[in-house]
Amino acid sequence: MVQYLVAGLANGSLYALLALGLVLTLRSSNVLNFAQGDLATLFAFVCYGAVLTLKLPFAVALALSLSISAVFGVLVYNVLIFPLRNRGQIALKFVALSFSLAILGVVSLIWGPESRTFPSPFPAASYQLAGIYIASYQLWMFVLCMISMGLVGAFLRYTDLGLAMRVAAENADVAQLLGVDLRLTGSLAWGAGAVLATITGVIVASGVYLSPTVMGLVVLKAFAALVLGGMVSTVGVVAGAFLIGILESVVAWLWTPLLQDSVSLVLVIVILLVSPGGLVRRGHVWRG
Amino acid sequence: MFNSSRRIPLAILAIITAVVGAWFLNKYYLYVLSLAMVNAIAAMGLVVVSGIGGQINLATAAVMGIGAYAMGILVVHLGLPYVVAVLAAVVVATAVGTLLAAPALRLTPIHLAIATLAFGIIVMQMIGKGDWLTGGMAGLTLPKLTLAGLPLTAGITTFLWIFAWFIAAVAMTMRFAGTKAGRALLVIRENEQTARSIGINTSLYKMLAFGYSSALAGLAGALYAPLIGFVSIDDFTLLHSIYFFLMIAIGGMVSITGGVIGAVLVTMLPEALRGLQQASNAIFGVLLFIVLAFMPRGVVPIINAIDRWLFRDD
Repeated sequence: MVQYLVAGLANGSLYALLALGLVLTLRSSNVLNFAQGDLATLFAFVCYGAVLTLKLPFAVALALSLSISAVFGVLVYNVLIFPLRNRGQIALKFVALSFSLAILGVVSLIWGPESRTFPSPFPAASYQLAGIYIASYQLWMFVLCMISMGLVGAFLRYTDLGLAMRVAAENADVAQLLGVDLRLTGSLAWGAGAVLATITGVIVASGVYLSPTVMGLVVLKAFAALVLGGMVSTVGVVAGAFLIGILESVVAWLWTPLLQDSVSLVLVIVILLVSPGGLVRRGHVWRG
Repeated sequence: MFNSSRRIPLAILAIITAVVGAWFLNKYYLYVLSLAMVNAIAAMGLVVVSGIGGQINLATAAVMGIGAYAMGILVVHLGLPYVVAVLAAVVVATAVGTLLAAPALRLTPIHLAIATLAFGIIVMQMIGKGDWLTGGMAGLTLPKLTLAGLPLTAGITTFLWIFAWFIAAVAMTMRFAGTKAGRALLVIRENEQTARSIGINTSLYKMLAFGYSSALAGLAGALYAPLIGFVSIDDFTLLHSIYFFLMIAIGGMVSITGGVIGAVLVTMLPEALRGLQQASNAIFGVLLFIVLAFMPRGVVPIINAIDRWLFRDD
């Protein structure tokens, strides 16, 4: 039972990392980033390439891929998304579907469709605590996610730029009147989103394996968390992610692991039918 | 100002040319063209729900899969004749797809995108796990299908059979846009509150749009399966639903002719890139961005230019 909970928390933290990136980009630019999972795959592959082809130490490779992903996120926003902000078509909300296809295509072209073993940075050991086994990567997964989320949360809450981002997310017009540079806040959101994706990608690749489609299910759970959090609240989305992680474990434990992947998606549809604002009761509902 | 009386004879001429021309094509080209028409049938359904109705739907491939599996199960397990199974598959897909309208009645486009995406994946996962009925991950192998005694394998019979459905779907969908329902959907897309204030039953027409598009997607699935010889969940993934979105985006979302052109392009490109399949996703991604960002009307301006040239009054 507790064993399942540990796995649930560890998985939940992964979903939370991706979903946090989704909520940042959605609120700053009104674009649902369908490519979040593909970004994670792409930069996990970049890290893989840096370790195996360039023979860099893992820490250097990770730092390199994190920096490249940040620049990439900022570039994508500035070159591809910002110029389109006033077009006002429904279809533009889904422009990131095109990034998803393009990144998937490029990754499969360069590295091929097969699965690879990723050089795990985490010790292969597992820890035993009061009869519960915790794999080291699960522990690291959880710790890394907590640190990343703490950093993002602290940034949003305690810095001027974070405040600007929150205002911009709340109401872009008002923010602009107040002198907030929407381009800057959008760039930050996309940069941060890409960095969060990279961290997730590297963790998933270390825990499972690396292939162009390995992130497919993880990103779906992140979407589910986004819906549970009502698409507006960072805290709500993170809570939703952990809820999904734990729920999956409970289903696997009580029922069958076969249904583990469907349960979060069923939950999404139920939530959308019953309470489209998600589980967070706030004054407003996302009207994207 | 256009001389539209020339359109109908020209359309008939085009149909006769296609039917006669098909006899001179080899099996491979017949297969690719059949595939393009199958995709075009599903894309036309998406034009109605997403283009005309403004309801984003990322479950097209899944509904197509429901049609394919319904047909396959009826043929394999109940031994029904193929034609009966096709019609039954359309009914099943329409029923399931109309349920999809339930979330559409009250959600924003982004919510709806996630809901349809989740729906599509759940359906395919369930099909993948129902081994005893669907063949599970391995897929469902179809027996040799026949139509009035003629074998339905890649070839001229299958081509003509699919061609007939394709023409019927084009004719019906072109009419749909002009009907009361089609016009009501256009108002709903532009402004739902306005639609309601002038007495349009938005729920009814959204359900109708989802039902119609699901019928076409289900039909496409039931026609697709015999082309391949078996039914597999790998053919109806989220990626395939995105391809359908790309097809209608190429067609400027609302154009039926545009959607058909999109379907032909998206079907042909991976075939043309044989040996370099992976490249097609990269190209599709760039193409989707270009049409969404810079060509909101897709290839429609080009179609209009040709149209003016063909039908101008001299």
